[in-house]
Amino acid sequence: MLELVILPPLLAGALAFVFHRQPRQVEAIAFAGACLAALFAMLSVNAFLGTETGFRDFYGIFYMDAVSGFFSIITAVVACFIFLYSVGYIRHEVKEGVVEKGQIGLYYGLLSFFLAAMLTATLAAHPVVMWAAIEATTLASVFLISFYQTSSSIEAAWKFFIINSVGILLALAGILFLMFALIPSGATTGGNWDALMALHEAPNLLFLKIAFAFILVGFGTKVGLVPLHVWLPDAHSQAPTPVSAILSGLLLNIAFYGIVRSYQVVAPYDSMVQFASGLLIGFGLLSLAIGALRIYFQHNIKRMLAYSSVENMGIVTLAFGLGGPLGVGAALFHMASHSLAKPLAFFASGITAFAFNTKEMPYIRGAAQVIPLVAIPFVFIAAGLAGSPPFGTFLSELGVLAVSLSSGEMLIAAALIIFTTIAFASLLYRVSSMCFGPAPSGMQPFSPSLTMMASFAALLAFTIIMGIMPPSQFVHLLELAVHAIAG
Amino acid sequence: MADILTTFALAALQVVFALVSAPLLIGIMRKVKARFQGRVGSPIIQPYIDLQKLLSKGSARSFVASFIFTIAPVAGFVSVAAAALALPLLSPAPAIAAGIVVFIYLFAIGRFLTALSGLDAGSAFGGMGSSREMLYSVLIEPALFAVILLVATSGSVDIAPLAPDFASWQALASTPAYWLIAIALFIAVLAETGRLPFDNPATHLELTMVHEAMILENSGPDLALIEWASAVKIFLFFSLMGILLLPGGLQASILWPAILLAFCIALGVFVAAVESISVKVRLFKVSELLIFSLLLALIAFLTRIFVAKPDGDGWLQTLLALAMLLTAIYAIFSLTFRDRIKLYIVQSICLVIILLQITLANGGEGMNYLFLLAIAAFKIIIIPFVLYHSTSWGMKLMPLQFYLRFGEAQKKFKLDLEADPLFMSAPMTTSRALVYAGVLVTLAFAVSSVLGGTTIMLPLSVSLILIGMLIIASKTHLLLQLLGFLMMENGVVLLPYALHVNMPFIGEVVTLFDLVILVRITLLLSFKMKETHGTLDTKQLVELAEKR
Repeated sequence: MLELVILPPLLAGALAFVFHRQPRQVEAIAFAGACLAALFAMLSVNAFLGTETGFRDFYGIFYMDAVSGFFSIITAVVACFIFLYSVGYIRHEVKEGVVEKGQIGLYYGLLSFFLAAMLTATLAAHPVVMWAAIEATTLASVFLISFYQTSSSIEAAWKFFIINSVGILLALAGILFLMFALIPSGATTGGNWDALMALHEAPNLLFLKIAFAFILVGFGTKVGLVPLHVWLPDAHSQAPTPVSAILSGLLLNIAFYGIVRSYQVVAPYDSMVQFASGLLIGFGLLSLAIGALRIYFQHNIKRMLAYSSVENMGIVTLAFGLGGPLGVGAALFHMASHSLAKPLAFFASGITAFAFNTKEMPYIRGAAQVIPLVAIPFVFIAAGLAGSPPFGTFLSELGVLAVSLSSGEMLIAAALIIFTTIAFASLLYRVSSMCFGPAPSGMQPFSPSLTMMASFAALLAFTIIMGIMPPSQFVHLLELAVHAIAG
Repeated sequence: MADILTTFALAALQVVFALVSAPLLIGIMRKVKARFQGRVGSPIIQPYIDLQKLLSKGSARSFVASFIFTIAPVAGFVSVAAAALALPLLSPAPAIAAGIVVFIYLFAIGRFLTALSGLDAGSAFGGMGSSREMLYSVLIEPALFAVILLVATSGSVDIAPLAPDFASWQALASTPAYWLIAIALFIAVLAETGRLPFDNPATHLELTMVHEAMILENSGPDLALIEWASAVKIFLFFSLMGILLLPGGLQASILWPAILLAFCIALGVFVAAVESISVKVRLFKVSELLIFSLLLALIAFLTRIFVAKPDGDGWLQTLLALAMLLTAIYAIFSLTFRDRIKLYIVQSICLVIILLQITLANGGEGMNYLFLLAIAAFKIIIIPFVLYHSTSWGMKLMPLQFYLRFGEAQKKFKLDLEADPLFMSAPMTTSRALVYAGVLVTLAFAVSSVLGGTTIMLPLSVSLILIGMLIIASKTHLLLQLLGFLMMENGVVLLPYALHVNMPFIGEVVTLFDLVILVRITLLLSFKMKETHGTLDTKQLVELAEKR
C-alpha cells in the first residue's frame, strides 16, 4: 500500500505536464494528487499503528515504521493545504500578468514531483534510495525557485542548486562510509534501514564518527544549519509564496529525517551518542543564535520568515542533540508545529504582499484595516513561530528548556531563553508594525481569493486544534517514534 | 698515506669525468635539437672546440666592473666542480659524503655571484637577466628541494638510490609512484638547469633571456668557464636523476660510469626532444608547473607510505584511480572549456574500466553490466556531447526549453564560452589552488591511514571528491563549477566500489538519473543566467547579498 502514497502526486505531475494547456484541470489534478497522497499516508500510518511493527512494501523498496510514518504524515497533510493555496496564488499572478498561462502546467507538475520525491525520501527502505529522493527534491525545486525568472531568482536558484548538490554529495559519501563501517565485508545484509538498525557488531568507531559527521554536514546544508545556510534566505524569499511554504515547512524536515535515521543507526554504539550530541548541539545553538539575531534586520518579509526557519530548525537540532526521550520528543513535536505554523505565516505574507503589491515591510502599514481577516491572525502566528500558545511550538520549546535545565546545561538553557526572546521580539515588532497603524492613503481595498482564504483559515483551524488538542493517534505515533530513537 | 692518495686520486678522477663528459652531453643535445629543426647541426664535439676557442682568447671587461666580475666565473666553475664530488659518479660512495643539501646549495654560490656580476658590468640587460634569474631561483629552489626530500627514502640527506637492489627496483618500478617521481624530478631538473619550457638557452633575443642575459658581458676565458660550469651542472643533475632512479646494484659494478654516462645521454636526448616540442611558459606559470611537480612527488610519496590491506586492489585499479585524481588536479589549471570536457571524458573512461574490472571480479549479473553500459554511455558520450555543444545547437536537445520559453533567447545569442572575457577569472590563483590540492590530498591519505583496514582506493576517491570541491570553490564560471561538480560526482561513484559496499541496484539507477537531470538543469540555468545577467561569472551574483 505504501506505493499508493507516492503514486498519486507522481501521476499528477506527469498529467500536469501533459495537460498544461488546461489550467483548471491541472489545478484539480494536482490538488487531487496531494489529497490522495495524504489519504493513503493516513491509511498506512493507521495500518502501522495497528501492529506497531515496521513493515516493508512494494518489492521491499518502501518501509514504514514510527519515524517514517511521523515524517510522511506531516508532509502529506500539510502539502494539501499548500496545494490549495497555490491555486489562488497562481491564478492571481496570472491575472496580474506576472506569470504566463502556459507556465501553470510547469508549476503544478514540478510541485507534484517535488511532493512525490519528498514522500519517497521518508518512505524509502534503503539509505541510498532516500538520498536519491532528496537529490530529486533539489532538482525538482530548482525551477520552482527560479519561477519568476528574474535575475535575483535565477541567482537564488543557482546558489540553492550548487550548495545543496555539493552538500548532498557529501551526505552520500557519509552514507557509504556508514554502510562500510557497519556491514562486515562479505556480508549479504541488504543495507536497508531496518537491517542497519538490527546490526550489533562493534565497528570501527572512528569511521562511524566520520560517517556521521559527513552526513550531518551534508544533510545539514539542506536543513539550513549555520554556517551552511547561506542559500536558504535567498531561495525562500525569491520563490513564489507557496513554494517558500513548502520549502520552509516541509523540505527542511525531510533533510532532518536523513540525520534522524543516521542517528538512530549509530546511537547504540558506545561513545557515539556523546559525539553526535556534541555536533548537534553545536550546530543547533549556532543556527538558533544567528537565525534569531538576523530576523530583525530584514526588510523583505519572506527573508525574515526564512531566518525564522533557520532559528526553528536550530531549536529542533538542539533539542535532538540534548537527547533523551524528552529532548527527542520536543524536537519532533517542534518540527511538527513549525511545519504547521510556517506555511501559515507564508500564506499570510503572500496575501499581504498581494494586497500591498510589495514584499518590503517598510512599505506595508495598517494591514489590519486593509485585510483584517488575515492581518490579525498574522500577528498571533508570528508570535506562535517564536513559541507562544496556542501553537504547539510553546509546548516544544518548554520541553527543550526542561531538558536542558534537568541535564544541568545552564548555558544552553540561557542561550535558548535569550535567543527565542530575541526572535519573538523581532518577529512581533516587524509583524505588528505591518498590521497596526493607519493604512497608506489611497490604498485599494483588497479581498483575497476564495481558495487562498479557505486554505489559510483551514490551516489555521487545523494548527490551533493540533496545538490545543492533538489527536491521540498522533500523540501515540509521536511516542512510538521517540521510543524508537531514544529508547 | 696510500689511503689519502687513493682518495684524492679518485676525487680528481671524478671531477675530470664530470668535466670531460659534460660538453659531450651538450653537444648531443644540440645535435638532437638541430635534427628536430631539420638542420644537420654542428658536430657533437663542437662544445669542446668552442671551449678551446674561448680559452685561447682574451677577456674584455667593463671598466666599471669590480672584482666580482673577475671572480664570479671562477667561483662558479669551482663550486660546480666541487658539487661533482658529492655524487657517487664512479663508485657507490661519493668522494665527499656531502649530502643533498650541500649539493644543491653549491650551485647557489655560482648563481649568486653570476647574478652579481651581471649587475656589475653596468648594462641594462645584465641587470634584467640577474633579476629574472633570482626570481626563478626563488620559485625553483623550494620545489626542487621538496621533490628531492620527498623522494628520499633513507631518511637522511645522503644521496642514495631509491631501490637498493634490482629486485626492489623491479617492485618499485611497477608502481605508479615510481613514474610520478620520475616526472616530478624531471620537471624540477628542467627548471633548475634552465631548459625549455622554463628558459631557452639558445635564444638570441635579449628580452627572452633569463640566464643568458646575465652573462652577455662575459667573454673569453670567463665565458668559457661559465659555459663549462652550466654544462657540468646539467650533467650533474641528470646524473642525480640516474642515481636516484636506477637500481642500486648497478653502482657497485665496474661499468657504473659508463652506465651513468649512457643514462645521461639518453635523458639528454629525451630532454632535447621535449625542448623541441614545447614553448617557453609565461613567468607566472613557472610556479604553477613547479607546484604541479611538487604535487606529483607528494602523491607518489603518499601512495608509497600508505599501508594498505594485504589483499588489496590490483595495480590496474590503483593506476586508473591515480589517473582520475591526476586529471582532476590538472583541471585546476587554466584550460579551455572543451579541454576540460576531454579531461572529464578521460576520467570517466578510467572510472568505467575500474567498475568493469570490479564487477567482473565479483561476478555480477546481467543487470550490473547493463548499468555499467548506461554509466559509460552517459559519462563518456552523452554528457560531454551535450556540454561540448552547449554553445550552439546542443540546446535544442532539451525538451524543457519548450516550456521555459528559451526559444527566443536562444535565437538572440549564443553561449560564447571561449570568448567570454571572464572565462579564466578565479577568486583563487592556480598556484594557491594547487597548494590547497596538496593539502587536501595529504588530509585524505592521513585520515585513511588512521582509519586503517582499507585499500588505497579509499584515499584516492576521497581526494577526488575533495579536489572536485576545490575546483568548484576556485572557479567562478558557472559551467566550470559544473565540471568540478561532475568530477566530484565521479569520486562519489567510485567510493562504494572502493569500500566494497553493495549499493542496491535501484540506488545506482536513480543516482545516474539524477546526474543526467542535474546536467540538463545546470545548462538551462546557465542559459537563463546569461540572459538575465549577461555573464556566467558567478562573482556577479551579488544582488541578494545583504548590506549591513
